[in-house]
Amino acid sequence: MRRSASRTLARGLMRRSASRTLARGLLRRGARRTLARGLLRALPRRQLGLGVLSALAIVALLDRTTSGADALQAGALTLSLALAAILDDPAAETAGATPPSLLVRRALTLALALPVVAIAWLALVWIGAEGSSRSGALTLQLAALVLVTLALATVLPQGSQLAGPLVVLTFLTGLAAAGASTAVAWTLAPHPGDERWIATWAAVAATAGLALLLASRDPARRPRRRASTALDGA
Amino acid sequence: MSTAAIAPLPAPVRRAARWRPPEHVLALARIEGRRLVLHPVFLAGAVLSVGFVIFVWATPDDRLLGMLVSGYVVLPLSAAALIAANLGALRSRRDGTEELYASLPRRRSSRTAGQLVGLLWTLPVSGVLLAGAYVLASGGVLEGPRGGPVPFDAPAAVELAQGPLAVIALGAAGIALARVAPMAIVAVLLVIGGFFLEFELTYWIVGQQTIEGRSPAWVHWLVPVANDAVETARPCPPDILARIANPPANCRSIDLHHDVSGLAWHVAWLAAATALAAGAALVRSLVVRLSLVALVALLALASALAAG
Repeated sequence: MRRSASRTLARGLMRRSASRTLARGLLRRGARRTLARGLLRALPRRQLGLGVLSALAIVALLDRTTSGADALQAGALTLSLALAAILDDPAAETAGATPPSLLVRRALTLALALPVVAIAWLALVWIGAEGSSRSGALTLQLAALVLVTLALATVLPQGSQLAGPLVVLTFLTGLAAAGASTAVAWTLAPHPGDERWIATWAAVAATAGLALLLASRDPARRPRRRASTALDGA
Repeated sequence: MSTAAIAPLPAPVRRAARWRPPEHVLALARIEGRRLVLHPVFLAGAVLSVGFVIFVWATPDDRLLGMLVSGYVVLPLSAAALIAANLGALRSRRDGTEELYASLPRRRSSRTAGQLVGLLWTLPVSGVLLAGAYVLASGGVLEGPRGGPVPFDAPAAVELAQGPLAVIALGAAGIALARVAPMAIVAVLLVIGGFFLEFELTYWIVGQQTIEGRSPAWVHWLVPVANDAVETARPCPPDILARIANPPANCRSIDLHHDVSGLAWHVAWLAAATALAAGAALVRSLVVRLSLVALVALLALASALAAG
């Protein structure tokens, strides 16, 4: 009896390792499509839409009173905050047991959501009527802020709602580090081709991108920690 | 008959009929106030405020010093108070304890009142920041770019009141916002919009408008912390022209004066907005709540127009 049970267990383990090998390879096309459909359904579309609309409204409103570059920065900040919840997968517990790894699932989610951000950003640049000289630097800033938001959303405990304030804090610190915020000149915009600006935001983007990648490793592939110590004292 | 019986009774001691907040509200306020000032976002705001003072220390300028003391020192703190108070008011929703609280004998308004009274705990923090800025500005320790101490005019009472009041007003706005739109992202979006508006509308030169004449002068009162320094650009007077070797054709000199009466209108609006936001957070009817929020916006417009 005991022997047959252990045999069943061994067979089960073998099957599991086989499925893991399968997951390491690329997903099949059909599986990818099925997964994409589910992830699309799970996207917080209302929050995404609200964020995009607020960004458009903020830029349209601020563009009347401020320079286009300053208004665009407000738009970039708002757009990045709209992405704060896209990686919160309500089915994460269930999907965690399926072959596609966490990284694949997150990459698919981003592939679904980022085109929306790209289109919205094009619209913002068009509204803000900013020339190409500075829009490149501002797009880099947007990329950095988006990566910071995503990295914070994955690192912070779900539902702590601290990602938004922390992104704003990163924005302010980044501005100070880039030397753009000067109360005497009253502008937040970079000079065209400002190297300090590019270096600052590229560094922020690289750090946040790395953090996002590290936090998106599949739990099964992460280095093992010591076994639970909950029973040690018992 | 004993003498004790006919001796007049001592008059009953009448307690002063002063209204005090109910004890349970005070108990909640003690906890909520402590949680607010120890909230990481609020602490980050305090650090940013100190950073602002250090920035002014590094680039001494009489306009910046005046702004600092007239409330701008606590501007980052007030933005943080908005977010932290909003997160505090959304706590029960976030933790899924609304139903549990609904089974308790006190109403929801008691908890909201506790949070509103807890906003008073921000006063010591904003007071310390303001006092620090005042000591720095009036001490004459900062040397201006042209040598000598940076000149500093003694601030009026409304200028000193603006900062701490703005912290409380924005905190109350955060609590009201949690009742109107219960999503944490809304407060952050409001802070972003406010930051850029503050940035653009703080500095106002009449005659050589920074906003290039695209909007009238009264719009610069439409921000929570307003700058009462009005700078007027005039053609250079002859004595200055005589001193400059090659005066430019469009030489302008800038006169600075503090529009204290305009700021008094603004501070009155801040006080009214605090009361209305507190009312909006406390009432049960959605229609009344939204009307009170609309009234805040309407009063903002009216006070800005009155301040001119």
